[in-house]
Parts: sequence; structure tokens; C-alpha cells
Amino acid sequence: MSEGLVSGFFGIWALLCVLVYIPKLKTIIRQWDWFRLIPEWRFFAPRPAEGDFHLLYQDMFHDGSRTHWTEVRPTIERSWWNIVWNPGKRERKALFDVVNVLNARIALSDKALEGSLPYLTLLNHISFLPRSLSPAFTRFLLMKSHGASPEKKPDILFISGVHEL
Amino acid sequence: MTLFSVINQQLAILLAAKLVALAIVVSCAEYLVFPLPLQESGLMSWGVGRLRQPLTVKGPTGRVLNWLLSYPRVLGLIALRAVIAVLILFGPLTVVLNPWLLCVLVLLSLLLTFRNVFGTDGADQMGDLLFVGLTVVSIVTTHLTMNVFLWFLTFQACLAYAMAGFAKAVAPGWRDGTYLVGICGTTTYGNARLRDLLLARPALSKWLARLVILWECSFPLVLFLPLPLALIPLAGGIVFHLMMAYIMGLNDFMWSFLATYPAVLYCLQMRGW
Repeated sequence: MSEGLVSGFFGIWALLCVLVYIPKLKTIIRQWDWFRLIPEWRFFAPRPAEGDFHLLYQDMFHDGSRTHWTEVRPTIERSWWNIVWNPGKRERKALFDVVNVLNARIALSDKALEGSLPYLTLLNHISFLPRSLSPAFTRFLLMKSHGASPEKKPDILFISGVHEL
Repeated sequence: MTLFSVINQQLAILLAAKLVALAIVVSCAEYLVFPLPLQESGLMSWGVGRLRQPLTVKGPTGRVLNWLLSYPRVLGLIALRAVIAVLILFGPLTVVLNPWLLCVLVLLSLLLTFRNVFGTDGADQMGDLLFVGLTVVSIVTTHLTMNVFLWFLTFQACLAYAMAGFAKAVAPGWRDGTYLVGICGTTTYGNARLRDLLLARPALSKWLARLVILWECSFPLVLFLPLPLALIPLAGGIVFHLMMAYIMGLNDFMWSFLATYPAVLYCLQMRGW
């Protein structure tokens, strides 16, 4: 009896892992998959990010003056020992995920973009950054560089609205 | 050729659990050494992440989750998860199949997965899959349930590589190697020296990308090839994950996916030929 239940459990789980590749069913499965137990393996396919995302911010003061755009660099750079130890990967992956989700929402002309999780995540992040001056407002900019052509100018993906600090 | 005397059912489960435990230990240590993304100001902030649904903000569930998952308390959960993973890594089969220990580990892992909307990857997912499955098996531990679990892991390995391979095979940019150069040119997942090499030799880039596609798509054949030929896709997998760890910095991805290989080896022997 219990052996049958366990076998059934793994069978249904395996079936869901196949069904998730069907776009219509994926939407339904994802609604209930809070713990991401139904994976969708792609390994950078069909189209990987062929460049890095860059997050920049610009502060503004009450008198209308503005700072230059400043890039928020990853705290830990890549090193050869990342083969076994890579503490900086979460931060880089988080930025990668945030920008991808934000891009998808921009592509859908999401009217609630400024209330979306990726937007709020980026705004929250740049708002907390330490500053030597006390600006009144801030905004952020997302750029994408070209991995295969580093000499090429990065593309501007998105400029946020101005928000009070 | 038979490996049956080398990889029995218990050893396959033990190796799989220990490899994923290693991935979890490394991952937890990385979080604890560099917790910045988890802070309220970070890109994995719970304060923002919890806004995704009313359940995580309002009412008793919201209060409990906020108490558990906010920074710095979440570091305590990560430390506890690391301790349990260390016990599994160095413990005997009785520890590895202890349902109480596994239930706590799975609960902690799923809480972390639930907390972090951004920044997690396939290695975390494979780890969750393996330990959720192992927890079920630890509750009903019989020869049959352990067999089903090992076949489930083998199925996941075949599905993962094959789906990734097919998705690449239909993309012209993968087939001609340009996407490979593009990824190698990123600082997030790339390697500048390899990018320069591939840019200078487009043919190498094209055939390297095609080799990856071919290997990924054909991985499920491992179940149909006779031994020792069936070991070739597995050896290819070890090389693939070592390269990914070195070039892309996907260190725990290597341990999590190689954790399925003892299951694959066991299932190869189960075929009886």
C-alpha cells in the first residue's frame, strides 16, 4: 500500500516535470509550484544572455542638479577559484534574474511595472547604497554589454522613473 | 562488464545524497561568508520579495514567515541547513536516511527557495528534488521505493540534458557557435581568454557548441547502450560539469548534477545487460 503510494508520488512528479514543457500547462503548474519542485531544465537555451547586465543610478537634488550615472559593480569579481568557491555568484545571478523578469514585463507593456517585484528590487537596492551627499531623488538605468564584441557600446534597456529617497 | 558489486542500491543512494550535501555545504558557506544579497538592501531582500503575494505579508502566515525569513535570522536557518548537510556528508547510511533529519533539511531548503525569488539556480533545484525524494524514501524505506527513487533521479538527469540539448539544437545561434562566444564574453558566466580563443577560431566555437548539443541530446541513450559504451556519456558529463565550473563558475551545479550519476550507474545495472 505505502510502496504503491510512494511509486505513484514519484510517477506523478515525473509526469509534471514533462508536462511543464507544454506552454499552456506550464502556466498552471507554475501557479502552484511555490517551492520550484518542477524544474524546467534549459542550460542557457534557446537564447542565452550574450552580454552582461549593468545597473547604474543617478541622484538628483532639490535644486535640480544631478550626479553622473554611477554603475553598481558586483561586490565580488570572478576568479579562477570559482571552480570550487564562488560566493559572488548569487549577487550576479540575482541581477541577471531581476533584469530578465523586468525585460519580460517591459515587453508586455506592463502598466503596473513600477509596482512589480523586479522594479521594486532594483529601486530598493539603489536606494540603500551608501552616499556621501544627501540627494532627494534617484533613478536607475539598465544596460547590456555585448559579450562577443566588448568594443561595441552597451545597449540601454530601461530607464526608471524618478523616485524620492 | 558488471558494476553491480561496486554500485549497489544503498551505495548509489549514499553517494547521491553525499554529493548534493556537499553542494549544500558549499552553497550555505557562500551565503554565510557573503550575505550581502540577502540583506534588506540586497537583490535577494525578503522585505521586497515578500510583497509578491498577500499570504507572505498579511495575517499569521505573513508574520511567521517574516519572523523566520527576515535578515539576519535567515542566516541562522542557513547555518542549521549547513550543519545537517555536514552530518549527511560525513554520516553513515542511517544518518543519510534519517527521516527527521531529512524533514528538517527539506523544510529549510524549501523555505529558502520560497524566500529567494531571484538568485537561485538549477543546482539548488536539483538539490531540493533529490532531498525531497530521499525524505519520502526515508519514510517508506523498502527495496522497491529505493529503486523507484533511483530511477526518478536517472529520469531527471536524462530529462535535464535532453531538454537542454533539444532547446539548443533548434537555435541557429547555438548551432553556429555564436551564442557560445557570447556567453564566454560575459563576466557573469564567461571567461575572457576562452572568448578570445573562440573569436579567433570560429570553427572551434561552432564544433564545440555542436559537441555540447550532441552530448546533451544523446545523454538518454545511456540507458540503451551496452556497458562499457554507456559509460561514455557519463564521462562526458563529468568533463562538461568540470568545464562549466571552471569557465562559468557554476561550482555547486557540478556536485548537484553529478549526484544523479550514481543513480544512473545503478539503473544501468538494473537493466541486466
